[in-house]
Amino acid sequence: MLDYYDESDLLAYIDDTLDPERVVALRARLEADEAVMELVEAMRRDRALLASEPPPPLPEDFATRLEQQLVRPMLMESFNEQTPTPALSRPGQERRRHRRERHLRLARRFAVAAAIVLVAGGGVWFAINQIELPGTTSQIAAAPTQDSRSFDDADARHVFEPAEWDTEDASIHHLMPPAVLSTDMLTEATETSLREGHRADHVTAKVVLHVQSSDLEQGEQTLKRVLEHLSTPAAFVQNFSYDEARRLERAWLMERRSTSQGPEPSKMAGREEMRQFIHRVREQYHANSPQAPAEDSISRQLFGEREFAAPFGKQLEFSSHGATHTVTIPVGQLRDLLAALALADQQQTTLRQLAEYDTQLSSGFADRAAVKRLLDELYEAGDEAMVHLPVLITAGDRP
Amino acid sequence: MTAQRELELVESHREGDPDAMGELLQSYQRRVFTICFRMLRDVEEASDLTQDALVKVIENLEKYDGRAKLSTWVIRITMNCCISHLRKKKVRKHGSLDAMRRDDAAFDDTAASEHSASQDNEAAVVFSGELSGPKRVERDELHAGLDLAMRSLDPDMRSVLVLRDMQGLEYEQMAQALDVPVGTVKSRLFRARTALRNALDRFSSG
Repeated sequence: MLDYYDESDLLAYIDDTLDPERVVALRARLEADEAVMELVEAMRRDRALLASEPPPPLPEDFATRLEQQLVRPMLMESFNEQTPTPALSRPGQERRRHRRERHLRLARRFAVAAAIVLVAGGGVWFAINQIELPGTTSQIAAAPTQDSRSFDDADARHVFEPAEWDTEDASIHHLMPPAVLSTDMLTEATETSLREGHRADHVTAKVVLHVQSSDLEQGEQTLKRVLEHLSTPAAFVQNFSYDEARRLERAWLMERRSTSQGPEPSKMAGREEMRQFIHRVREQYHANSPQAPAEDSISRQLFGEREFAAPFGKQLEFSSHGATHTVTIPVGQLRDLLAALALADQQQTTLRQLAEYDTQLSSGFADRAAVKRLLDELYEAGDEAMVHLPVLITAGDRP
Repeated sequence: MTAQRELELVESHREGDPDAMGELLQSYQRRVFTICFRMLRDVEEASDLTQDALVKVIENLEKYDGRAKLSTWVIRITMNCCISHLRKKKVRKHGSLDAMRRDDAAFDDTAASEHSASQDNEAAVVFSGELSGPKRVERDELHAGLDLAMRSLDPDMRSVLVLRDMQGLEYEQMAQALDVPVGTVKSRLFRARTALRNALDRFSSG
């Protein structure tokens, strides 16, 4: 039917790119050839129909899934330097493969602790922390204040909302919320913890491990199982938090008031009182044990030896920026930890930079490169160094 | 984002700026997803392929030499992913290329069943616009028919229709994106329009 027509002219006519003179000539021919005219006009309508198709809606979780999948190649690069995998396999292919091999992952879960495998991803954000390099006690004591977020009195007061205090007790309610954990208090507590046996070769990670699990308990159980399987010196704690400090302070204030010991509540909030509070909190922390009932614990020791656990000042610092737990393990075991978590069913795991919360995709990709750099810095501390790794466990939909 | 800004970001990325890549990819994610969807006609597959394509962009950005616009380069990567995926999918479904070529009717049935399955799975895009009532229904029906017809086209034909009519690319840009001469683009486009028209006639009468 179209054999006697110049295909390029027809195409140009359909696409509205034909020269005006040639349009006139072609139309004259088409008017004498009804079948071709009808076909060509139908093609023009088809073109308009294609152009009118609305853009597809992005899936609601598209950005999150995209970040998750695109973080994986970075982690695979970082963790597969010596044993290259199908490593930068396409995330889409990887996702499809995992759907098919889900049952095999369950079987392999505890069989490949030493293998370096894919890590799935998902993440949230916290404030920037710093890396403490191995050194002298005095250097380590000084390190937390270097480049770290300043916990000044204004910050501490912001955490405590007077309106949330027990309003039944007017005297307490009228108290100015003390700068319970001001910078110097925090430093003092940290230094004390350090003097009381904090190891000189402990480092602090600048990255946070985010574990998305079906529920909080499941996430904790999974981490405990993995740490147990690694058979390495380790500790896993639920962080002491400002909320916990507030609860204890209120309880302490109520107790002192009810027993009429010490100054009137309205006269409290002096520096000495705060020192006493810090000492009390620390005593409870050191008295904590896995067998202690949770309500008596300010920092739940979930696994491992207390000697490895992050000092409560460090936990407080982590929790103030959102990390719910802290894992302490040798730097050399970090890869195995992540690999084993990646195989664990019912959850997603990733490493993210400690940064301000930001849902923009650009931050996700900035995070990718930054996390890689931070991990490389961490590994420079040596396999034997113990790293305090902040952990956020969140409950959400299964991946 | 202007082409100039894109080049600045590419340069920043090469100099180690960790934010540059993120900004670039954020500006392209929707476009890449749209192309993938229009090629694959399935949201889940489009999501997967988008991830694949963007990873390839990340991996290969160092090799981008600036001869083509960055958008064209990204589209080329995207189309390669989509076409490759469609070809593999077609072979898997039909067992062999020969079987596929012999059995056009079966392929049409496949297109129809995929269309139906995607609707059942709520993975299909609901085509709705700002038209009122009957007009919108009519338009939705047209787009549903278009979806079916597009699924019946082979990847090469789909690609030229998507790039020309849906993404609005000029012939020269299409040639760069598909890595074929402009003449090939035009002849392929004409054949694609013919094939689409035949498919629309077939499905509307079937």
